[in-house]
Amino acid sequence: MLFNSFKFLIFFPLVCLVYFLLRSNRSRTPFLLVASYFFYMNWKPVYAVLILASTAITYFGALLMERGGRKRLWLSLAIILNLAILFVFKYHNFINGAVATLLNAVGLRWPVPDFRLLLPVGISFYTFQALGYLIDVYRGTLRAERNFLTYALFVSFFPQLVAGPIERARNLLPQFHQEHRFSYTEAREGLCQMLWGFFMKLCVADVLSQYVDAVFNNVGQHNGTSMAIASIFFAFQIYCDFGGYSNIAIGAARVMGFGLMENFHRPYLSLGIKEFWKRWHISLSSWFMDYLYIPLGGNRCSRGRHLFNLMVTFLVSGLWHGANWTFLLWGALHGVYQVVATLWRQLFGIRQYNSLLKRIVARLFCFVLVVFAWIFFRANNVGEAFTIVSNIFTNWAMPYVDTSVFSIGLAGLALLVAKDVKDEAGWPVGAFHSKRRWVRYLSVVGMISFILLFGALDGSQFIYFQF
Amino acid sequence: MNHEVKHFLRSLTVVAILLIAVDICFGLLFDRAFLRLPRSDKMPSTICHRFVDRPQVMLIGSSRCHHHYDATLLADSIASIVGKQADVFNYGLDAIYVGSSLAVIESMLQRHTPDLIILDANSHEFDVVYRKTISVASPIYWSDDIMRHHINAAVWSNPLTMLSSLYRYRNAMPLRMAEAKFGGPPPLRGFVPLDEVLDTTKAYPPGPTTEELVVDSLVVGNFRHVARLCSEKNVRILVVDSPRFRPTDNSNLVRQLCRECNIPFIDFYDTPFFNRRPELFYDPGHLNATGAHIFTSLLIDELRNHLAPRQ
Repeated sequence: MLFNSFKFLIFFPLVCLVYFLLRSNRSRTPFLLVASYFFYMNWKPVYAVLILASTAITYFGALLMERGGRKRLWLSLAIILNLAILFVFKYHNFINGAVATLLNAVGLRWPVPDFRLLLPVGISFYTFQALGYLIDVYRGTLRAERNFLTYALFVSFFPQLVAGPIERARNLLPQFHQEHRFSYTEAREGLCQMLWGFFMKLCVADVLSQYVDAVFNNVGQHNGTSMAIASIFFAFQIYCDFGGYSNIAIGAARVMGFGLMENFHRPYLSLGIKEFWKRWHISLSSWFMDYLYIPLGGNRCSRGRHLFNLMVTFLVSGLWHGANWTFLLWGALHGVYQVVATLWRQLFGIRQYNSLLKRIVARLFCFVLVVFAWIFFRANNVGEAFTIVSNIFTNWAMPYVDTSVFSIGLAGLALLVAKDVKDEAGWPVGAFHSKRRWVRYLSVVGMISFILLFGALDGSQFIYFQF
Repeated sequence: MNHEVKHFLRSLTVVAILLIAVDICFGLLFDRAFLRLPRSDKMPSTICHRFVDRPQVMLIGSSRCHHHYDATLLADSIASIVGKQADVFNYGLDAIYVGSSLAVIESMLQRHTPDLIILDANSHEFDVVYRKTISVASPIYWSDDIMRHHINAAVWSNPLTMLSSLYRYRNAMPLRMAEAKFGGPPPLRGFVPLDEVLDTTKAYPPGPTTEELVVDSLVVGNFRHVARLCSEKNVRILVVDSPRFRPTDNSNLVRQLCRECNIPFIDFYDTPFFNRRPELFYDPGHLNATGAHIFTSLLIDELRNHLAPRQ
């Protein structure tokens, strides 16, 4: 089920209503579990089996580890089984194709055929969430959950099931044991956050996507100026698409009394690339930090090893996003950025941006680097990515203009940037939180009306569902 | 019921009342503005046909209709064929597929009887994925029974969502209304030629195929219904599948339907004359201005066979 579908507008209030009518967790947990599976099965029912399998493997794996003895064996087995599912559905065809190409180059034939399988929505999200739990239990930082239903709900909790935030068990699991009472403040804040998420998705991401798709899907027909505009638009599209989803997810959970972690913290206002990764897809980057980068040795090792760890982490992050060379290249590019930034810091020390102008220049420079990398992320293939890059630097002419995208998209974008700048500067609260009641009401009504009139209300998918 | 819940319900009620008030006000405003819109190529055909004057020859279809049929050339030629002046208008528009076009024809036939309808359609437009494009007609949901019926049939939630005026004018409809209002009349009777020439060195996505087509039975049913309606009202209808640069499939489905309904079908889909001639195309799916001129001329020759003056 999509958040931006009519079904969700019926589903969510009903779930909240029943959830608060049920008084104890003994009935709430099974109810939320059924609701979460219903939410997921609306897309392709049979793939719920995969969530169940992943849940069962990690649940029993954690219990067996805690029972003592052969901890490493149980951990390895559970990780391998989970990653095997991920491999079959997500990476098999990519690796199979790469091996076949390699063998063909030396005159050998590779007999293994591709699988014709639809990628299960959100498979990378719930797999990584479950793996995080497993590793925490292995490390002894978390006790294994005894109640299967509670654990199953942790893996499949509907607000964050298909596109995160990838929650940590130590944050979310205990919340399923707490009795949440209805809170006016939490409900209001949650709904406002959802509303802002819908605005980001429907009025910015989906509007800009019309221009981005027109250019990136017809690379041959556009000049460098259009491609540069489309690349910048894509940067905001993916931010508003994924950030919008995260806001809806966090807001929906908050209405029911659950606190999910922040996933985006005004990423395009970062002063540097390292800061960008502390603000962009925080739940994933911190996952990689905790479960990959630090176990590899982090920065507490030789300089060469440290840089190697950085590259590996970002290459894996690229692969996490999809089985395609474009994602791998995107990850590699960010890895190179990190390596250069690290070396720069070691050679020249950490820069202080003590004037507004310096801060603006630093932010713009970081934004340009990020946009450049997004070209590889969005392009349909590596060849087209390089065509776009070369066109941006050589083929300048009058850009393709889509009046509705430029008027609505840019208006939405202006509002988004204004809010981010306001929040970053810590200026007083906005219209949703005004002290005057009528301002609050009118801003909410105005925002809903704006979304209805100018949002792209055709129920398009969220980009990150494919990961 | 505790204080927090009461407080929340009270706030929700205020927001709901305000929202309904805004919705009604905007609805009245937009509906009023909408009914006064002039004939324009800025508005979807599914809407503007309702208000514009009544052409004797109506061209309808997707962007391939919009950019392929030179309505002025057709007007001159049809006058010479049928022996009287004919007002021809091209209602083609991007992303308006055969399902929407059929609904428009059916709606139009309720109040106007044109002499000739030329429907540009190809097989892949019958795919079920295009069903919900009929929603662009939502501004006339309450004023047109036929369109309301089709909109309701397309998506299960439409009878509920269409209660909101703001939703009916969604997807930036007010902007398009402003364009229609202030953009002036369409210069070429709705026809918009494309100037550039297809660059064969560039990579284009493959053309549509009917290999994995999921035929929308609703649209097929409407096709038969419209054919019957035209026959009853003595309106001539022709179906044309216009050329593609590199045909990737065939027009069997449309041909079969036309044969079944006794509608003339003129197939240019894989005409060798157009096949792989980049100088006639803008992109693999659309003719450029030169191609459109040639195509319209060839179509007129075909029309001579089909349009004998009525006795």
